[in-house]
Order: sequence, then structure tokens, then C-alpha cells
Amino acid sequence: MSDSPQAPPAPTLLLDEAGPLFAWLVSLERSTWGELYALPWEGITLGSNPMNDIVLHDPLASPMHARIHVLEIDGQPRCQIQDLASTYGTWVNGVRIVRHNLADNDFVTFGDSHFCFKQLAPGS
Amino acid sequence: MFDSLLSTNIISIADWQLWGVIVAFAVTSVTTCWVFFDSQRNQVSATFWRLITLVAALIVTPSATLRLFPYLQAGFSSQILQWLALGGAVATVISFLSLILYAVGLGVRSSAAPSQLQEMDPEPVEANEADPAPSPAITGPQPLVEPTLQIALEPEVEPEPTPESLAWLVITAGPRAGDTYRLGEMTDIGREPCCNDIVIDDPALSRQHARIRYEDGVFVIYDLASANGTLLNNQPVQRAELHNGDRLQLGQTHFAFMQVVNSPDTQDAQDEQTSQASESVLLTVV
Repeated sequence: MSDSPQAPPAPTLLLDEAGPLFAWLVSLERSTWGELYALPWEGITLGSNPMNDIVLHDPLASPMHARIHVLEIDGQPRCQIQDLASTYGTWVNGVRIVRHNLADNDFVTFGDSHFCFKQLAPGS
Repeated sequence: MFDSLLSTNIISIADWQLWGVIVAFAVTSVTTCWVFFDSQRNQVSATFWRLITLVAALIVTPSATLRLFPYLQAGFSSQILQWLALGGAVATVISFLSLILYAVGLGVRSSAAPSQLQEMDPEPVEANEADPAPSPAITGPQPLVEPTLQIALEPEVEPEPTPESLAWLVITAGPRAGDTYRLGEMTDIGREPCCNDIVIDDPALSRQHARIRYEDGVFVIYDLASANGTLLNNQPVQRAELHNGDRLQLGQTHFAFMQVVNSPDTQDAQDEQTSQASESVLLTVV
């Protein structure tokens, strides 16, 4: 084991990646009510195209509808959602957004697909 | 050898055979009736036990009849009578054992499967009227006691789910950090795999450590007399309401309680401004 060549070290990332992100999207669609999608550090894309991490089965969803990526804001990991020029828009708490920093309990809508964003505050 | 009921000495203590017959008949009939009516009331399939107890009662009946009315014995040889007596004794024992095994089977079944809505408010009897022909295979006399608890509701009868009914426990530390457990009407937490909805292999956890119930839109945690207690935000609790973001510690396992809070209007003004600010920034960039 020690004689085999070492793999190149993983690229250092902006955030300390130890442990999970503790951020989820909760589906509020009737067919998948309450289903949790754990958000990874590398972010996700959403849309009707099957290539997306979360596939939206909604006629109002664009093939590449939105994406969520993780930024560090004030020393904390925050999820930022970005609309990818979708036809019916991405809405957070009833406001149409282009780019928005998500907070715990934000209600996110992609076209007509409803989700709730949940994130755990850092431990007490 | 024995006094019959026809003699003036009705019952004599020495009539152990007569007493035995009476006991046998009583045991088998009571057992059969018990198994039949109990399984019908609990809507439990107990065909095997019903059969056994019924057969035992049938075996005891001729022996008991012949003992109680000895003038009928004239037509039978003594050997047959002895076989009948032996069969009756064996049938009595089997009948009694069947009752015990049936009750044990019931006990195992009820503790292994915490039914979803059984412990909430018992539904009124209207559900019984809507279903005119419930399942039981035996067409015996219906019990006078109406069953008021329904074991399980059909899926289409479930009420509209509300967002605040969505809640999870999230493990926040250790090798299973990030694992989420969806909470239902009643969720048991403990070390024992058989009886818990959330099984955590933590030696500091009791076999049945805590229970979380959904009561009128609020999740409430109950400590089930656990050895190491239940800590809510570092305070030991017996019964406490849970709110979004609460931290729980059961044994050495740390959880966070996460609940969807159905109030999208109570967003901080800060976030509104942030979104508007970032919107305006992007518009200029684009």
C-alpha cells in the first residue's frame, strides 16, 4: 500500500467540507410530499431535463430551470439559488428572483413545483 | 364408582371424575368462546386457534355428556368410555394451551407493530356502519360491543397534509451525521430493533428511549423512563414540545429537530432586501 503512487491531493475548497451540509429541499408536491433532497457541497441543478440532479415533472418547468450552489457568507455556508433564465421563473416566498441567498424555511417555487428549503443552523 | 346427578347426593367432593368433567367442559367452552370473540373483536386472523379450540370442545362434549348422564353409558363399552375420557382430558389441556398461545401471539403482534392512528382519538362508529360486512371468516354471533378503534384507515381517508406536519430528526454528530428520520404521528426511538421506528445502535440509549407524538400541529417528545434521560437544548425533559431547530440528545446521540414552519410571510426584511439588491445588481450586469 505504501509503495503504490499516491493519488494527487484533492483540490482545496473554499469551505471546510467535513461532514454534510445540513441543507435540504423538501418537496411539497402531492406526489412526492415530504421527500427530502439533501443538498451536496458541490450544488445541484433543477429542471425538466433528466440530466438534472432534481428532475422537475412539471409542464411549467424549463429544461434547465435553476441551480443551487454553496457559498461562504459571514463564515457560514449558505445556499444561493440562481434562476437560469427559465420561462416561468423561480420564486422564493412569492417573490420572483434571479439570485437569492436561501434561508431556513424559504418556500421555493420552480414554475409550479413547490419546495421548502431547510437548513440547520450551526450547532448550539 | 361415582354418583350421578340423578341420585339424591347431587355433588360429592370425592367425585373427582365428575368435577374433572365439569372443569373440562367449562375450560373448553370458555376457551373456544374467548378465542372466537376476541379474535373477532380485534379483527385478528386466528383461524388455527379457533379450529383447535373448537375441535377440543367437540372432543370433550361426548365424554362430558356420558359422565353427566350415566344411563347413556349402557350402549358403550368401557374401553370406549376410557378412550373418550382420555381424549377429553387431552383436549382440555390442548384447549387451555391454545388460549395461552393465542394470547401470546396477540401480545407479540401488538407490540411489534405500532399502528399509526390507533392511539389517537378513537374514530366514531360511523366507519363501522359504512362497512357493512367486515372481514371475519366465522359467521358466529356478532359481539355486542362495537369496536370503536379502527386498526388502520384506508389511504384515501387520510386528511390533507399540512406543511407543519413535516418534521424530521437529523443526526448532527458522529458517523451518521446528516441522516434524517421523518417523524409520523408517533415515532419511537431506542436501541431495540423490534419495537422502534428509529433504531440507533448507541449503548447509551435505552431499549425504548423516547417517543415523539404529533399533537395538534405540535410535535411533543416523551422520555420513556430512559436510563440516561433525554436532553432538549441541554435541559433534561420528560415531556416537551419541539420547535424548529431544537437540539436533542438521547444517550450519546445528538439530533436536531427540523420542522417546516408554515409562515412564508414572516421572512426577515433583511432577506427581502438582499434578494432585491441582488436582483438589481444582476440586472445591471446583464
